[in-house]
Amino acid sequence: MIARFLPLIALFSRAVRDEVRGKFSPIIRATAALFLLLLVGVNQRSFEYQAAAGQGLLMMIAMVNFFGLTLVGLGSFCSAITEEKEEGTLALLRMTRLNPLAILLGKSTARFVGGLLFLAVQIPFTMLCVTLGGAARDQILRVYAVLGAYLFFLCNLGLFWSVICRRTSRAVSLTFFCGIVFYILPWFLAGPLFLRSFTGGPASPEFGLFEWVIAHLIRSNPLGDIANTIFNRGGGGFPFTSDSLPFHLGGGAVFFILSWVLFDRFCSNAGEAAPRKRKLTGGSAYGLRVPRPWRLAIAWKDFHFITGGKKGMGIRLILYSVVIGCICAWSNSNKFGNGNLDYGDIGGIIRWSALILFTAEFLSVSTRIFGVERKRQTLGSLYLLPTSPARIAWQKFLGCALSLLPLLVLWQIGAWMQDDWQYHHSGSGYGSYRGSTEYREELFLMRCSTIVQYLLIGTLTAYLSLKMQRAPLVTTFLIVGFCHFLSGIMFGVGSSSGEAWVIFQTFIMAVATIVLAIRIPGKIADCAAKE
Amino acid sequence: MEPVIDIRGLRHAYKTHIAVAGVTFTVNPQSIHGFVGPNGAGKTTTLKVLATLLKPQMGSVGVFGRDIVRDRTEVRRKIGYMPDHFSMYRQMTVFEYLDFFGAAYGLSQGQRDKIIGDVLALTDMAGRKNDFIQGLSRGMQQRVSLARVLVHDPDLLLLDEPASGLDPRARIELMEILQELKRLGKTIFISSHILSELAELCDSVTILDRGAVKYTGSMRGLISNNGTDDAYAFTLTAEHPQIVEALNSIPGVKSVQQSAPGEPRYSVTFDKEHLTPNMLLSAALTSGAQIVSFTEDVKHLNQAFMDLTEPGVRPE
Repeated sequence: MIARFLPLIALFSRAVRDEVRGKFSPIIRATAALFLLLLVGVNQRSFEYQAAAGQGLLMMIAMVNFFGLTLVGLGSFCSAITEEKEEGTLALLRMTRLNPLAILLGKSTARFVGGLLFLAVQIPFTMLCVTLGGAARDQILRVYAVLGAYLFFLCNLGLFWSVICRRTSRAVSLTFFCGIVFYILPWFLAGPLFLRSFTGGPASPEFGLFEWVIAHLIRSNPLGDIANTIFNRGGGGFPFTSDSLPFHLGGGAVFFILSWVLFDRFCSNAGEAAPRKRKLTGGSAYGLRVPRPWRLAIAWKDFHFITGGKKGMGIRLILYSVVIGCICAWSNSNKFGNGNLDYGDIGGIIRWSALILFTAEFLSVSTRIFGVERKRQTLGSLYLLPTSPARIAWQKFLGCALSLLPLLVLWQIGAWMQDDWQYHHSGSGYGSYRGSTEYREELFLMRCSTIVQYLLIGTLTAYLSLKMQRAPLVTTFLIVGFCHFLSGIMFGVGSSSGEAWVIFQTFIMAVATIVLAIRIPGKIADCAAKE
Repeated sequence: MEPVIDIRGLRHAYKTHIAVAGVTFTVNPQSIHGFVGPNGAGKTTTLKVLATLLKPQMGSVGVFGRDIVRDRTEVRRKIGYMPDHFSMYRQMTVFEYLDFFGAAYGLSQGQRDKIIGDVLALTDMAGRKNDFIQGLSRGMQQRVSLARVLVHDPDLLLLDEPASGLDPRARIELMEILQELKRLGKTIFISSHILSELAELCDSVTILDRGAVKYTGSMRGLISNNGTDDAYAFTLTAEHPQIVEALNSIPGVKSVQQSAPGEPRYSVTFDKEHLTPNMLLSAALTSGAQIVSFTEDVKHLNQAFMDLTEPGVRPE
């Protein structure tokens, strides 16, 4: 009997060994522990004055855990099967006595157990919140139950996409997209739906079901459930019943079963072994003919083969315009009381949609600018070109940056439309405020801070993609978030020194960006030599 | 004649592991130089230093009389390095790939069109220039890799185990391309861990083991280096025991061995100071043997390699 489980145990122990030997896991755990300790340190003074200090601390700990698990989980769970596909070892695993169920369990359980243990070890420490007051033991246990169930859901959702996709990056993107659909989209849909019910909108049975789904998704949101548990003492006091628990446990089980059912279809040996044929004509990432290389050949290569080139840019721009158009149309149909969307509203939608899309593309490009070269081991052939590594990095940056221009233009158009509308409709007070030195200084500072922040995140992600093969973006967010937090402690966020804090942060970020940018050429040389 | 490659006292270590410990050798122009050694001997490290990917920690490395550290950019224009792994932009077509590297080396569009046509013809890939690289077989990808190395017309080619993983036909075709390149005036520095693979191709050879040079010089010299003996092999149409007696009766013959019972192949070791291969051949014909081939025994090269290198795995 035990012999039947030996291959599964072997796979599980290999996964645990990999987890233990990896450099990333202990760093993440140490960062999280440090973060939690800092939370206590920061709130030490407020504990003396607040009547329910434990409540605030519990919420902070829950938030840190939620975002930490999301960031790390995306990188870790989504690579469970794709890492075997990328290394070409899935076929070897399938040749052993392991069946698909054993492979799925062996590959995902170790990561899930690791996350669960990470949560479990915190519980005794979090009980400090009971001593501080404002939080009961049941609430703490329920918060951890919600987080555990969320972890189970995330693990199986990531596993599902890991089975479906060939590449980890795609699995991460699709898991992230599902997260937006499950947790963020319902909030956007809920507002107009509830407004419609107040204004006597249609109440057909189909619409009722849709409303029910939206309402259920909102109730199942782990963050909402945690907040409800901590501040409203929801759930009737019993620690292991919660609105989000059935959704996450059930959803996790469904995704696991789907992964199992679809495993043979998407992870067959033949599929892995078969060469991926493509059509026999020249083309870029979008399958379209590309022009001859420019004088700056590396910029040409990255522009066409990493970001899709001019035609790819055009296709994306059309797609984005359609999305923005749909948002405008949808907003227009759900805008009550004020009639149709005005010029300023449309400008606002364009501005913020462009900013969100720009951020998503910017992050994607930052991860891929060197990550793709490193994965394909092509940095060596670039480094051997008769040019300096700094010029190589500069050309790569240029090639990638070009693809972001249309979104920046779109953002600027939106900003111009919104500002123009406000200027003409907000009276002379707004105009004189816009012309004031105070406004200009504020705007300048804000723009500098935002640009520097983007540059830092981009440079750090690009640098980390040269250092580590997995999760450079997640690590960037952890590092930047941690540094923001530290600087917040140093300058006391919310106090009168807000402007000084922004200037300090901007300065530090600018210095860090320059240091990283200087180090990138050296790192390219290192990576090229190691290939 | 100034050597193309001049390495003196090269040393390179990765933390505590010494990969190359005081390597010294030279390579003559317009020759094919084999760089042979067992796995972990330090071949790739030496090649990476020559390709300017690694800086030498000690010693000097000159390529075409230029120091690879001081004149790195000039050296890079004169060399073409092909690593032991496929590092290619697989989403490009063959032409786009070569065109990109041509442009990156600063060639004009006209120059690129001409040279890409030439290298595709040389590597017999002209008919596949619009194919995506990811759809090509391993042998074809190797040809594209070689074409990429040639696109800026370098004088020195550094090839790290170019034949590994190729089928016998692809290996032979690759060797033919290399011979052609030598005829075109290129100097080829080729690494391998199989000496016999390079025996017919190379003019000179360096054998490296555990980071140290065990032999450097001509291929003939390597065989001569192995004492005063030489070895040749007869392949017959059928087993012929009389050949053993006939050859053994000649003064100077050290041993005559049948490769395996029933196989019509016989190896003869002899003192080359007293005997010539012609004398052996005439004795064999006199014995009535029907000879299919009479060649220098490649096994002998392998034996020389085994004698020069140490057994076992290199300790850390």
